[in-house]
Amino acid sequence: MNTNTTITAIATPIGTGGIGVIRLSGKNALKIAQSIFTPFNNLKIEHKKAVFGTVNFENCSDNCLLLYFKAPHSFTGEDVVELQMHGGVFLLNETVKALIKNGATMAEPGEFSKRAVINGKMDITQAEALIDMINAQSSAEIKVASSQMRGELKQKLMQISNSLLNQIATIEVALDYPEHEEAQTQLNLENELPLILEEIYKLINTQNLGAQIKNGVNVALAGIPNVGKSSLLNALLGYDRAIVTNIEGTTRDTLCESYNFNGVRFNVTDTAGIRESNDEVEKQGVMRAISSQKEADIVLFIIDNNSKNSTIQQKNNTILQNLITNCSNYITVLNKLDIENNDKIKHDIAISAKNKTNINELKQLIFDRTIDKQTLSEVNIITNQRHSELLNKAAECLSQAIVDLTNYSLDCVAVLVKQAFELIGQITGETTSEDIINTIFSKFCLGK
Amino acid sequence: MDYDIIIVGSGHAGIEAATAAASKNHKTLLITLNLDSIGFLPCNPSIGGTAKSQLVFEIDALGGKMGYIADKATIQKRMLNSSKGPAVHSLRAQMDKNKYHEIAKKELENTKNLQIFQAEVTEILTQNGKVTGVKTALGEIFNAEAVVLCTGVYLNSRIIIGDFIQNSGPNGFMNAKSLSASLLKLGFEIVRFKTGTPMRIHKDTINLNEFEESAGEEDLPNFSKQTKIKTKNLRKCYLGHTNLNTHQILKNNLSRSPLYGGVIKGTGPRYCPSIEDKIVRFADKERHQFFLEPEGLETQEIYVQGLSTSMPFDVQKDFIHSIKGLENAWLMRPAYAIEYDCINPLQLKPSLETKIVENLFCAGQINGTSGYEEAAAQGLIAGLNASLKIENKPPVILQRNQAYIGVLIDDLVTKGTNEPYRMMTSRAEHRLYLRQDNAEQRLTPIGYNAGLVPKSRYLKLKKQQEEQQSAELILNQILSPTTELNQFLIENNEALVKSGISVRNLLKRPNIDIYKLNKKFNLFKGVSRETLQQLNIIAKYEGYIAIQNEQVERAIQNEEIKLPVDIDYSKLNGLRLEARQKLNKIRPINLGQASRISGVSPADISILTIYLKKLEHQKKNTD
Repeated sequence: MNTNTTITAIATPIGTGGIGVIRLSGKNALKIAQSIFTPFNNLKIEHKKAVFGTVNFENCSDNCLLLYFKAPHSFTGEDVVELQMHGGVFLLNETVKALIKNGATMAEPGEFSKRAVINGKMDITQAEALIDMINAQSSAEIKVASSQMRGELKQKLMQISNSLLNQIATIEVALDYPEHEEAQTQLNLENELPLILEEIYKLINTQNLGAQIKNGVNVALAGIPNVGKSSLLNALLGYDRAIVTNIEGTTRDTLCESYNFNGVRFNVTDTAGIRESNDEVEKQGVMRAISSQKEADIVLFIIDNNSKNSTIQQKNNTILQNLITNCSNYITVLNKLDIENNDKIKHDIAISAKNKTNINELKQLIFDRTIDKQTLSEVNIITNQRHSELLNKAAECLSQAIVDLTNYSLDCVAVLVKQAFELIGQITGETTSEDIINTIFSKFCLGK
Repeated sequence: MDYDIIIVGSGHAGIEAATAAASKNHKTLLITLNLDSIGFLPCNPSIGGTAKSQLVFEIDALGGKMGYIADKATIQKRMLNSSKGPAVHSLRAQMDKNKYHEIAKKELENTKNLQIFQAEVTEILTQNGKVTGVKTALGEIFNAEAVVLCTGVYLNSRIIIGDFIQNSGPNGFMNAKSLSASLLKLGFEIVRFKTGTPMRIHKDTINLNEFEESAGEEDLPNFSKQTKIKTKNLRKCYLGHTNLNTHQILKNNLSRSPLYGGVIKGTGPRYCPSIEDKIVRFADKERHQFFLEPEGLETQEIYVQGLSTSMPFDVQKDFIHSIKGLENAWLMRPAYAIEYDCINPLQLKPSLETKIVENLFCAGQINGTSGYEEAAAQGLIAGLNASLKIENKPPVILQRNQAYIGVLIDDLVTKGTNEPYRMMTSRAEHRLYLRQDNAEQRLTPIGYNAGLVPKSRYLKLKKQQEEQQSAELILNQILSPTTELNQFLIENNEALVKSGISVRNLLKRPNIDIYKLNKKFNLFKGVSRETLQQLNIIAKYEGYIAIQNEQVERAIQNEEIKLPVDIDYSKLNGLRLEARQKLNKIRPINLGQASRISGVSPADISILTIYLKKLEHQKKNTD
């Protein structure tokens, strides 16, 4: 990597938010920023101080806040300048172009983080957590991401790693010093290895929740047409996203939107009502609906007061059978409370999407049925796919080692314990090979 | 030119270097301080042990002498780790010290193309950075194309017993006073190491009833394929322990210890501490074990393994007499520490040629190692590579996945060492494959191609390998679930089978081995015992060897990524300062070597990787 260049990129997500941040990193960061930035009242630009001013180039001009971090006390360890401007895509893009014209280079994906790693500002687990932090969309996600940033996951992994290392050392001493009495008596793998395995399993068991926290909990809506699925979506989101009519088949494609509840993100998929249709577009929509229900963490099965009607009852039964076979987790939601009281129909919760009655109660029910609250209070939750794969492999090695203790000689068992140690090391970056570096850095998003 | 190759020193490295060079038809001269020190065993009277045994088998597979001499001088033999798997089975043989020396001397005296000569080499002669010969204390000059230094612990060595200090080699032999200065002048970095040896006790003054007997084992293999005789167990060893009283005596006298008093400046080995070191570092231990080992058949001297010390002689006598069974022990020779000069092995190429002076090679303790076997292994490689160098042929560099010798030399020349380096099986990441039982299969073809192994031996190996290949097919044979088979399984405490099972899978069962199986079912008719052993190991351990092979391949990936020779690491942004210095000094040839350098972290390796990618990218763009 050529770290002589000064790189730049938009650091905030494109198209959202009122403020956009452009970051520059490299030894000419300040010089290049000053080529377009003028402070008000000739204010002096100082380390870690925000300076208000304007950017001017070609036909553009905007008020702007400049933040300067002098090397090595910055995120990348190099001179860093942040320009906080108004968030329009056009303005931000033009500003970046202007900076490039004045000597900056467009940052490659993940290049800011790469430089931070190179300058010893971050280790690899921290860098990976950073990607998650940038993508974090809810507070639970940020909690997990920021605990990784503080290195708590790393600490836990180091603990496991150290325990393994201790056992490896005990094995090695026993093998290399066969006549040393103490070296032989200290071996206690039958008891020690299962304890380490348990610690690894504890981390592995958090990975489902980890995935939910990172990607959000997937909630699918199911029900016959015109039962109020789209109204419920709007009610859950708190704003009108779906078009609501009383014409059957209004929703033809699947819509996916998110809301936060108790700090967890829930992705709600509104699907086409399930009915026989001759319309090609709608047919496709129904297919997608069925598949999205299969992938969901939980399905809201929506019925209404018409469900007493025998043909509708038959249709509902078909859907229900389908849910029972394909989905492990579903809630029967009785809608249209506003029209009539339908206590006689079997349901888990009754609501009115239209009048927003019992919507919060429904959200709580969804939360309770999907989130393992005890695990949520754990600090070390595995949210990263690569971490989870490596932990599973390490657990596999260690279980095999425990089985082989009785069947194989110590020189063989040593291989498995060492393998487990190396796998854990690959998470913390202790035994990093070229492959890992490639995978990690290709996962970095632009700007940071 | 007087000689093709000159070897300086006649210890275990010198013996191998000289015989390797001579067997390659080079006119060879071996110069030693004292002809009576040829093949001398100044410390423990044994050859082999964990990792060291593997080295001896490898030396033999490459055509070296150590195994052959050791077999002839053996007076007791054991197979260590026999319960812990074939990879760590390690032969350890007690030696008759005088006999070892005599056989070694006879071997050198009768080697074609080799002359041996007693003199002190005082200077390495060079011209334009290339070695031209050596000068002796008597002023004689010997010219040669290549020189191999195997000077052991003799460079500027001094012996320390309490406050008694004497400039001397081990055991009263004369030391080499001027050679270090010559090396320093040539630009070598000299480091100071320390080691030690215990006292020797007269056997008749020991009450052996107080000790636990450790007898030899029968029917063990020899180190060498050349050995035709069967060794006998003629002497026993004994296990004993120190006690709190012993420790108190040592503690009371710590102020008189040269080690703790600051007299000894050299770095000693962690794995072989003196007894005063043990009681200080492991203060809570109530006893330390030690072994009594015979020094030979014609002597009553007993070596006390585990009690090496540099304490004053009166303290030595006192603490020995505090041990049950040694109350009346007569100390025939005192224990002593020895300090000596060696070179920093980072100044060596993987061929063991020095980076500073062309055609000058170094082997053994001068490179910072410890142990007879480690020295011999290097001697063989240095003698061979000096020969190949003057033949204008590329050197033989054994890889870490080929031999313990490869691990040893790679560790030395890439990591260096800050204490006398001892081989251990845990240093070998390919341990399951680097076994004593397959040393010949791994290395004899290399030894044959290099001209060290005679054709007859190579052909014999080929024949055995062919037999093994065809016998390996029998492993896939399916045995039907007959009553006879199930009866056999019951007898061996194994689960019954309901359907057919392959011989291979049967052998994977812990309580079944190929010998039992063959005895019962006679599956391998006429197959040699050696081949049976190989098949047994293959069947039992192939799964594990596969796992290790995967690790091997991953490791080789990094070996294949070459580092450009002209990188200025000091200018590489992002590398930590220590890594920059180490990399500039060692200049590794590839990423694998770089990753093994102590002080180079995985983060530094990833930066190097990124840097190489960038270079590659730039190159692509300019092409």
